[in-house]
Amino acid sequence: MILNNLQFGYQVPYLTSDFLEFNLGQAIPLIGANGAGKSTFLKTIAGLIPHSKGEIIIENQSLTKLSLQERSKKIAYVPSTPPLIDQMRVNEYIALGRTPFLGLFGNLQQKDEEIIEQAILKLGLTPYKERFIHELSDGEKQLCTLAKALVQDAPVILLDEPSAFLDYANRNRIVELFKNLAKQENKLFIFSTHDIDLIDREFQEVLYIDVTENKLIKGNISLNKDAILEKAFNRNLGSFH
Amino acid sequence: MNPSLRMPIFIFLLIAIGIIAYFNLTYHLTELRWLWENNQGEQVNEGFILLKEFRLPRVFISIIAGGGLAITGMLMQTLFQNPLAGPYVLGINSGSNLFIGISLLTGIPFLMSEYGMVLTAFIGALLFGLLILLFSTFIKKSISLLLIGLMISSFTSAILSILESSSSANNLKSFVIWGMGSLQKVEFAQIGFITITFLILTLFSLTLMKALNALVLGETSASALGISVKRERQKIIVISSLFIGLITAYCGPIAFVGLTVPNLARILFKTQNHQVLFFANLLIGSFFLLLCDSIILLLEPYTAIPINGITSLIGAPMVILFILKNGRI
Repeated sequence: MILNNLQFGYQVPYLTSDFLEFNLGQAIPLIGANGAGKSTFLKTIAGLIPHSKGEIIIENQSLTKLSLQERSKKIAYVPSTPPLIDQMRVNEYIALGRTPFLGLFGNLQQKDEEIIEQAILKLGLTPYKERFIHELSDGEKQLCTLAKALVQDAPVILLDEPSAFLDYANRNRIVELFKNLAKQENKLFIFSTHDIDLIDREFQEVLYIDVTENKLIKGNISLNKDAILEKAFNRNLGSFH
Repeated sequence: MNPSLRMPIFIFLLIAIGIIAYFNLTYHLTELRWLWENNQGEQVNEGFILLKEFRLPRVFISIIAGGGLAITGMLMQTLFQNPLAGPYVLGINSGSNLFIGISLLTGIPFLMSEYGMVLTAFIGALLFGLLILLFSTFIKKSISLLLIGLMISSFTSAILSILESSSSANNLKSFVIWGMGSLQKVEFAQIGFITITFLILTLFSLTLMKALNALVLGETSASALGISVKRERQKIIVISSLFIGLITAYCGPIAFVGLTVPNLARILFKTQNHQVLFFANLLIGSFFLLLCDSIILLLEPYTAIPINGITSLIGAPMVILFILKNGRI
């Protein structure tokens, strides 16, 4: 995925990026202060918010030229709130990830069923697949949203604070899972997070929003942790903002 | 309910509809099966005439209106993500009521003709549907939207009561009777037109199921799944208004089917898969209205109850029951 001189956001000052290139097979955390624009960035890439300038290119195709449906085959987006739905079974929920591929009447084909079954197997959700989604714990729900994103079969998966509702152990687990899945499935995972310590341990490359310049930057957290945190939060981390 | 039980339940419902339809068609008809000579000297089977001209259209429109109202309710409830939504509560019906009211109370001949009624009912439903759609883009909280629907209903009732007070006795009577709802206004000759319209609408609504399934996740997630929410929303409003227009024109207002049946279908089938819910609503809706009509037939010797009265008498307590059972709505 390539971002070329992107300019985005709801209002002035807009956020910008230089030329940024991302390889498939990689998971990249996105960090930044509250309100810096992490969600806005993810939604912009997902095509839910229009961007004002620049280009987003995935697999040599500019996203602006694609219809919403074509776009959803390139990018899966997982919002920050876990699903709050009554009367829906896990397998029904995961099947919704196939929506971009369904015909006029929305019937699942044999191939769709197979893809769904594989995702369920891959994430160890087999014992849960007939259960109702509202009965699951937040950790299990997060796995379901991940499975739904996987069956969408898109090269890029964006997740808005996937660990927000998870306990300590599950936070580690889900980040580990992103790294493994990115490699196995040759996908690009970008996820926003506030778990700086975990990111520091597990990742080298991070995306962050430099709040002094309103700019999206890719940096190496293992080399410049202090500088990155300084720019991302514009504070010594002591004071509450 | 276990998904493997869906098919048996569908078959059960079909059989139940068949049995009630047979009952409604033939109840008390045997006593009337004598032959008499008409003035041309031909032998006429009065029972058969009764069956063809009265009972058959009545059973037919019960099935159509019940299924159509339930499907419309389902469309509205998923679109507004609110189980209390329905054509009635949101005020789409008020549009038809107002326009039909204007037609009947002013007594303009074209508007009182069959197609005039269908047209005015449809235009009224569509205008008010679009109004609700407009409000829904500004107002995200569904409870506020329902309150607006309620206000729209009160507003149209006020206009109607002003019209009523200044209209002729005959026009007033026909409007009041229309307002009670009736399954007996359809004639045998109209069955063809209604069937074709209903089938087209049903087919179109089947193309909305993919979007409805995604909309259960919320509008943002639906967009991320490639659903053009704005366009689908417009389609849903137009199709719902057409359903309501058709049904209201031929039956008058019928309350609570569109509100009660979709909730019942979801609770019974325990799914958010709208391809399943679609047929569940169609069948349960038809079954429900046929059953209400049976009650009317059974009580006919003692008292004449309008269909709107029966559906409300059964529907309202059921909605209260759902709320009590869920603890929320």
